[in-house]
Amino acid sequence: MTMTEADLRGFLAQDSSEGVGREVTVADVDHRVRRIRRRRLATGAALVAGLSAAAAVAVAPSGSTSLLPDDVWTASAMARPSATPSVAYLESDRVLADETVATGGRKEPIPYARSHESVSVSFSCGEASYAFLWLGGVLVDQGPCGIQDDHVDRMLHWAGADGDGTGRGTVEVAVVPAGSVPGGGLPGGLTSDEADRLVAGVGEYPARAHVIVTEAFTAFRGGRPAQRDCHGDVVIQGTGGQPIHSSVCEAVTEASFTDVPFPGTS
Amino acid sequence: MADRADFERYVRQRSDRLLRTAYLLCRDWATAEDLLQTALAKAWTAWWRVGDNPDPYVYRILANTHATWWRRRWRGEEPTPVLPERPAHGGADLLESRDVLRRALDCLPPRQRAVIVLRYFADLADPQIAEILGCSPVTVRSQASRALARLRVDPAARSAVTMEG
Repeated sequence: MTMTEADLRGFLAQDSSEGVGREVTVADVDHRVRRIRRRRLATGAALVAGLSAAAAVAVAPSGSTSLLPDDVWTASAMARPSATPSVAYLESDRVLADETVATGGRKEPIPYARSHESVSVSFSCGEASYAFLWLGGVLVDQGPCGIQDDHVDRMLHWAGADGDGTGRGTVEVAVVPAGSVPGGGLPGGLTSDEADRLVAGVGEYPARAHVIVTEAFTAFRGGRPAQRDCHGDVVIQGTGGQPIHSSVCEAVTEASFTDVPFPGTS
Repeated sequence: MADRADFERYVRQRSDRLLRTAYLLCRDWATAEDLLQTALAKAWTAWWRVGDNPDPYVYRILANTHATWWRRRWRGEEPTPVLPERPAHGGADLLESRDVLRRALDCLPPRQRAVIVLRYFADLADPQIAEILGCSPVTVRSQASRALARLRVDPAARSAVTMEG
């Protein structure tokens, strides 16, 4: 007789029960998170260039190099090209601000206590949105945020110098519904004034978004802009001989995790 | 908002089932572990908005990530529209039959395989599958129908599931 749906259920249940002893633990996931973060945040050219600039890593703030392997630090670079595209950052696990944004269509100020010269900002969205990120009043990043029509979950991730040395910093974020940005933000994104007008024009509405501001340090500065086409892990020998583990670029398979090229700049 | 303890509890409670789901999607245990680790890692980064029922979100990542890998990686297999004809012996050996069915499932495109796995292993309703895969319930039904037709119509698959004379 021909297979029934019950037969198929039985087959799938039995066929998938043969992986005895195999498991995925929380530790496995933690390790993968760190690996993805490294790949997400490290840009290949910067790190390849970093092989020759390892000494520059050593001038990063105290403790950064020795703490690199997995547990505390992850190598970081700006997710998108900016005025100084080849600056790379070491992102610490010290969270300076962790806030939920419940209202779209308006600028939300997120104050944080500055502790060093640089910060890393991650901004994720619960709905398909277009997001803007200002630091110190300057529009530093923008782009699709949340699960878009192509079913890819996007987020903003930006790292850079944070400001004026006053001891306090403020990130401002805003989300608007996906599709409300003319041309999807292409080709070069909106100016700060255009973003202000768009956000004001949309008006307030309930939204779900999340901002995490993390301490970061400048690792090294290279002369070449970052590239993304690279693979595998690298080990940089620090000046003290200690290995500094990092990763080269975003793996193709993890491209949807984040690090979405900024419209018109990739 | 869900927190770290929730996530750890979820991984402990659900990882076995999710790993089996991942295996059925990719048909390789090592790849399944890789797939699930990646999916859970991505889920953790969005855990604050996953809500009380993380399964749909994790299933969605599993299905999308697997589809991406399937498209972009050489998979060491050559899908063919026609399975090799195999002699159907009376009282065919069950292990051999299962192997034939397994290979028939391997020939399904990732989307159809995902529908089959989510419907017949994860026991999800078509609207839930549609939400996970980002399509309409009608599309889910048509994908399932095509997949089942291939499994049933294919001569090798038919021989594999001929359990009784």
